[in-house]
Amino acid sequence: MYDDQWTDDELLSELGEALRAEREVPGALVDAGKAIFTWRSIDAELTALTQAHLTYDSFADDAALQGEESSLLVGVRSEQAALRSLTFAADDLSIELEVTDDGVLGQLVPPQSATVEVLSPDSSRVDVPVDEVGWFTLRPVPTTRFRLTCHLGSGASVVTDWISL
Amino acid sequence: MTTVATAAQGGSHLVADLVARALQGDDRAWGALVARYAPLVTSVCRRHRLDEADTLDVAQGVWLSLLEHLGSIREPAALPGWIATTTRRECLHLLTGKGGRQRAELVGEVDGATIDLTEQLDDMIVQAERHAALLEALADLPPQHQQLVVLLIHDPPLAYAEIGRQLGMPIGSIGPTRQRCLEKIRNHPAVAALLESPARPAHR
Repeated sequence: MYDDQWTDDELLSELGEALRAEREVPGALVDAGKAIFTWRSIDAELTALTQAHLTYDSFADDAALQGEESSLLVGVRSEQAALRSLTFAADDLSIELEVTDDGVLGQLVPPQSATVEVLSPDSSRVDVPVDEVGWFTLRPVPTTRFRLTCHLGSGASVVTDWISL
Repeated sequence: MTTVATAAQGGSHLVADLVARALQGDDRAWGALVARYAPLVTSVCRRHRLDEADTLDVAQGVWLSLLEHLGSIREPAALPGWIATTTRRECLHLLTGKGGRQRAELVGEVDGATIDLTEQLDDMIVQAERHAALLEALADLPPQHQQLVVLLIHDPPLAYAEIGRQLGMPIGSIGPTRQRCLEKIRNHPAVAALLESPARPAHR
């Protein structure tokens, strides 16, 4: 049994590799991961809302939306669209997004006024003004992933999947 | 592949405990889970040639998924495998989504390496679990002994005289202390579980 064990030198060299791998982790990666724990309370709140799922992404083909990795790669290579557009759909509401260089243009379908909120992984929430026909703008383009919640005049609330641009 | 499962056995008790405590709202337990799997997430991102900003983005997705799935983890030994495949999926999404057109060439490179990556994933999981077990054992040593181990693996190697000077230890006691430290690490439950597994990874 003892023959199967690491020699002292092997053990030390393994420890050295373990410490090296730990040092290669960007410090912000662990900090951001720890900070995400506060998301739990928001997550609990969101599960009560209607979920709007990604149904269209101009940067991906249908197979990609179903998570087929190989098709995902092929789909992207043939992609030539200038602007990225995305659609998130729930039963009674769709949220259409178009990504430009300096912002994200949003449209609620059917058009209606509402309150839109941008939720970030660090649990920050930012209100976005929406006009009476359901247009809104996120400026600048969010650099981290986010979710949108829409509180509609009907009293219903809808939340999107995570959006990463 | 039995290697992955057996390698993960060692840390299962600790991980199961951390998951249970995190579910009860213990943010330190969550922090320990993040710290434990951060090297695995980082190494999978490196293999996909992501820069630091993209690595942080991918990691954020992985932690959010982990947080969502925390309550449905039945088998802690399967967690490293789940972390690795989730990271890989996030890497592919990022490479094809965000700025996909500009990255088409890079994606082409990654595509060519896809088969390799899948094969490497198991190795990366086994290695990450081995490292996690060793770091767990190291952290359980008294602080001065931890420092000794760190100096012993210093690159370039340090003479015992230098190590003794830094730690205020007589040179004659370094050898025996080194021996005791390594024995403690070897006998640590997390490490012992790795060593007992018949599928111990080969050494170079």
